[in-house]
Amino acid sequence: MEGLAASIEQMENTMTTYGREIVIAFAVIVIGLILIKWTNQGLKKAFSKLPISPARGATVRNVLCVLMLAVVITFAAIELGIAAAPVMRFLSILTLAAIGMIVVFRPLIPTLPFKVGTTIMAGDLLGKVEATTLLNTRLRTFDGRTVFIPNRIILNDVIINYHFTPTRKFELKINILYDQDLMKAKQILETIMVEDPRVHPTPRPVVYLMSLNKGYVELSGRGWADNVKRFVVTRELLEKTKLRFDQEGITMALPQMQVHYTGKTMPQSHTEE
Amino acid sequence: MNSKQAYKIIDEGWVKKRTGYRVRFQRKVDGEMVTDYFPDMDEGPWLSEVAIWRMAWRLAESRQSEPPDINAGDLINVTVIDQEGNPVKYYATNQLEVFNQVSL
Repeated sequence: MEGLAASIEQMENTMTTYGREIVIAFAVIVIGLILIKWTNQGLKKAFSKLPISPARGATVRNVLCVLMLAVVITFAAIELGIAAAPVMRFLSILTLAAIGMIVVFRPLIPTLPFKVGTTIMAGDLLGKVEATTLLNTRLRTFDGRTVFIPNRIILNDVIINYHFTPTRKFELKINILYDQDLMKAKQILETIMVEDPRVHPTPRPVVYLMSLNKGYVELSGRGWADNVKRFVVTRELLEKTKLRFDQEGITMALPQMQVHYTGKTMPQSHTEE
Repeated sequence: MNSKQAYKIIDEGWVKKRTGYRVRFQRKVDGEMVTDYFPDMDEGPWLSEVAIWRMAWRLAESRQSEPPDINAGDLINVTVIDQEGNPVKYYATNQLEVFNQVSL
């Protein structure tokens, strides 16, 4: 009981001596934190209207908030009666130590292989990354679902990042019948790819005869397009190819099997009773 | 002739790579026929031939005229042009196509 009474008395003495300074320092910190929060929200709104990426905007905001927090702590310390110079020195050492730690350990820290705004395939989920946190990644799929994927799964899985390389190869698979004009079909396919403004001129589009299959000749038109436009480009080129083949009288192959009847009767042993 | 020179000849003389498409149409403004474009000339052209022809068709279907009367708001002689202003053949027919065609 005596110990508790002594502690209370000591606290009373401290509050009597430094109470005003402690309250002011506390108020400085509270007001400072509120100001930092408002500034952060204001900057977030302002950056959304500017042509800068969300990730870069977040970095700038975070740096500003940390600087503002350092200023708030310094002011609070000054109000408490601590000299400004040691506080600034301590904060500088802390900052330098943090930067040093980041520089040294950054290569060892596992990072997500994408940024906010990129289109990725994670497992069988295809969509745009809306946000990443320490624990999970928020993915917006193209059919409108919002999926939260734990980062530990992402770090252990194969991820396709469709923004990592700006261009990607596409392939148009076209099957024609054996009796069709092969050279004409190749020419049409190549022309359709070459004239499209979204198909890159280099590497040049090419058409290969891939195989001579049962009932059809397999052609493959290959070219390069911007990664983000590849899906639409491929579908539209297929549409144009189908229509141009119709106009030029080239018949595309359907799954079929040709049966040749020779007129000979089957041996007795193979006929049904 | 090296391959670079050969490909230069091919690029200049064979199939031209288009740089973009616009819908060109006419409409009546203050009693006079004016030629207009979609997208506007101060905007970039569309790169998809399929999409621009679909747009041309939609515009024509939305504002059909009943010749010989052309009312304000009707969109006539709707077609697709390339960046140089040359009419583009409709990919579905490989012919020059004009929707809501009206001789003026």
